[in-house]
Amino acid sequence: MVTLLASILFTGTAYAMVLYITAVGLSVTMGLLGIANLAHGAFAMAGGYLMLLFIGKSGMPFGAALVAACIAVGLVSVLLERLLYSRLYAAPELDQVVMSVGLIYVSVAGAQFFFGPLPHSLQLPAYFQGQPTILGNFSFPVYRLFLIGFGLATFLVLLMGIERTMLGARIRATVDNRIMAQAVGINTRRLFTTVFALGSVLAALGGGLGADMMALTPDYALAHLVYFLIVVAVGGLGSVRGPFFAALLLGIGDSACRILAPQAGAFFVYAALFLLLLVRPHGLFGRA
Amino acid sequence: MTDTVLETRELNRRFGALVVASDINFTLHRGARHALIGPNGAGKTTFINLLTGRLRPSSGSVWLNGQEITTLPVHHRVRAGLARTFQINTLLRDMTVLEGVQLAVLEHWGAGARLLGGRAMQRRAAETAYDLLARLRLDDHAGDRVSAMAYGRQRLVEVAIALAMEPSVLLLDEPAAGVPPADSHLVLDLIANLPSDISVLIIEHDMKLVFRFAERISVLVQGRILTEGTPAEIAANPVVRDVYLGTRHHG
Amino acid sequence: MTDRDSAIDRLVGTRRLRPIEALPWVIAIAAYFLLPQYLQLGTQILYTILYALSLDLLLGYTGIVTLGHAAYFGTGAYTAGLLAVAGWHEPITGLLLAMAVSGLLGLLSGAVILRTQGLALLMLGMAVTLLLYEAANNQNAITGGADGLQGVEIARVFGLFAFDMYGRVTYLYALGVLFLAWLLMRAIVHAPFGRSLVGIRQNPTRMLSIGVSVYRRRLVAFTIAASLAGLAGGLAAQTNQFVSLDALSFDMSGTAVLILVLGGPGRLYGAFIGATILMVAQDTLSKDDPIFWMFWLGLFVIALVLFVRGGALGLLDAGMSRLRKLRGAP
Repeated sequence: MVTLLASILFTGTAYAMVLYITAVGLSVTMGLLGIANLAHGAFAMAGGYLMLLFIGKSGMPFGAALVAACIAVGLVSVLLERLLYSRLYAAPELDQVVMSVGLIYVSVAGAQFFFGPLPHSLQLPAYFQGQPTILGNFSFPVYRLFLIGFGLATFLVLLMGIERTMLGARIRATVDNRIMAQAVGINTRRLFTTVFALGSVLAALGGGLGADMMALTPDYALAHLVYFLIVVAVGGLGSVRGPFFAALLLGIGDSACRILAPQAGAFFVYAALFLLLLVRPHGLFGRA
Repeated sequence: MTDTVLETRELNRRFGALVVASDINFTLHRGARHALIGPNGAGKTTFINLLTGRLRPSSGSVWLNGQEITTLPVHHRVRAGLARTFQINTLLRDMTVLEGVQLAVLEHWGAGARLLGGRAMQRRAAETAYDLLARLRLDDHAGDRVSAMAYGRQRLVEVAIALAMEPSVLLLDEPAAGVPPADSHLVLDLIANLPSDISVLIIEHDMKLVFRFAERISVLVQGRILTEGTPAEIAANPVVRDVYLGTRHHG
Repeated sequence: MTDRDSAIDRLVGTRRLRPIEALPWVIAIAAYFLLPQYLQLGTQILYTILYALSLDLLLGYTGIVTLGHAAYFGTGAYTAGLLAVAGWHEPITGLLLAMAVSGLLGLLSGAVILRTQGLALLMLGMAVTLLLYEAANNQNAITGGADGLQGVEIARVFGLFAFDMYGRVTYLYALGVLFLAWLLMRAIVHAPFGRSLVGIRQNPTRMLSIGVSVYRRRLVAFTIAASLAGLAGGLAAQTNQFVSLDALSFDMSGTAVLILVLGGPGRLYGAFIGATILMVAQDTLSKDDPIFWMFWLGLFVIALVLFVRGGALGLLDAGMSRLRKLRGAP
């Protein structure tokens, strides 16, 4: 019983960390830009696939490949933001949704073309492999422990960043009241691009690190879209703090469902989401 | 004896520690031409929102024609005879002027929810709408798209739609706001020619309009009614002059 | 004719049936005679048009952006399918029941979903569809799960016409249903209710200020849209004699939105144009190279959103007005 609980908590938390790192960028982007970017998962997928490429073709070590993938995705995201997304900031919600669906299709096709339809997994370096045993009969993969630690660290860094830095202050001001922010001289243009790039880099980080738990498939962006959106919707738009707890709830809840009631699939997750949004439409931590 | 058509009793509205309306006791009489003035941020639009139901009070009550409407939603108050215009044009921009007014007429007649048919109703409503526009001298713009019209003219359409509801009480929120000086006479004329059986409350910064139009003026400062009286009394009141009229050019 | 008369006529005259509105039916009947080998695809296009039409009421006219419309299509499909599998093979009552069940689901879910807006609304709509998908997947003893519901047998329509191997009766059956639904939709959007929906889409605050219960109108629109989507789903189940789990998928919701954007939302005929273009293109292009198809569809959709307002109908409008300018120019 204890092993079961520990297993659920452990796996769930590791999964939650990956979800958080990947989705927090989406929360800030949506809260800041007001744009519905359903294609966010494509950046995560790109991060994972690029890592695969760098490790496989160039023989880069794990860490270097991760950094390189994040930089590459960041640069591409800046390009996409300037060329595509920025044109739709004032557009109706429908246009934004449809454009991001188009991007998803392109990403699915591209991924399948370059990497084929089968799922890929990343070979973890030696220092991440292994399953030490503690408490007698509970063993856990080292990598998952690393993920939990990394996720926590990311959360703290982001929290400090949003609360203590100038950039964070500008973000908070603009999320609160865009027109006012522009009136006091915040360069919203540059802010949007910066935040979008950061969000995409985080997504790539999540995609690369999380490839162990969320396999790389061409339809990655679609397959995980709902869960990313749940983290954002439950955590509250424009927040760095809320999605962390939302991700924990979702990650652990999902793990519990998979282990305790596998035939029901994600039914209880969606039911809980439905009830939660009914009572708190702005999420657990969002503001009206 | 003049009837009271609109009344608030001890109306209060707080946002946390911020008080935007404080113990407002306000009365509007039948056929009134009443103006509400006050410096920026005094809470005038908040007060209108409290009257129309867009905002719920923290305490106190609102009464329309002797009935309490404090908890009635916006659209019910409209059906009870309370119409308003907005400070910024709130129109159906992609429709023609005629259709916008026709929709208002249909809703006023209770025919707006009709799922099927209604052809004859729509024609009659279009005729009534056109005639209303003609009375307001807007009929040449009947076929124009709202978004293609000058802002000043749009303001007039805003009033036309409110009038289509045949309200007993009309609340005008800065009708002259955003209207270029060359066109402001249109707004003035329209307001001057409002039917005398409608009771009108107008918020305005334009003192020329206020003194031409109002029989009674209330001064709102920081959510509180400072004083109330005839235009002559208000103009002569030194406290009002200090608070507001002295800084007229800031308004 | 006075200015008054002409202004009023122009407004009220938009209801009148124009000759060009016969075009889709002429094409549909022509296809029946000229393209007998494509009747199965034709039937699929017909019920997809109906499905997109139902979403247009919500999306195009009322302005409610939802990615969860498949819930009602799928509910209608499974209702009609399960009814047939349970032993009731009469098709028309099957369709009516499908409409009723989806309509009820639309009413109940809409009552809840429409209290929210923006992301919450989007998520709640998706949640309903996801819940139904998981339930259908799970209860595979009843629904057939991922393999789909087989053995949907349909009796003769009106006791006379049996669904034949060549799909002739199915095509005409679907065409008849679409025609009746179109009559209904057309009547609704031109009636005061339909016009008030357009007002709600453009400015809900304004509509509240003219005494409209915006929530109630939206809910009525939602329920009607759900019923018609259920009708489309039931039609799909009966004509395919099979219900796929995909009927409840996110892809199904997304496809309807795509179709409307392609054809032009809020114009009634956008559904006709969009569904035909998408499904014909998909049938020809996607068979050989599905990756190619997805890639170009994605790019096309992005270009559409960036450069074209109002889909195919919007393009047509722009073209017409340019033609008029050229003709009218001195």
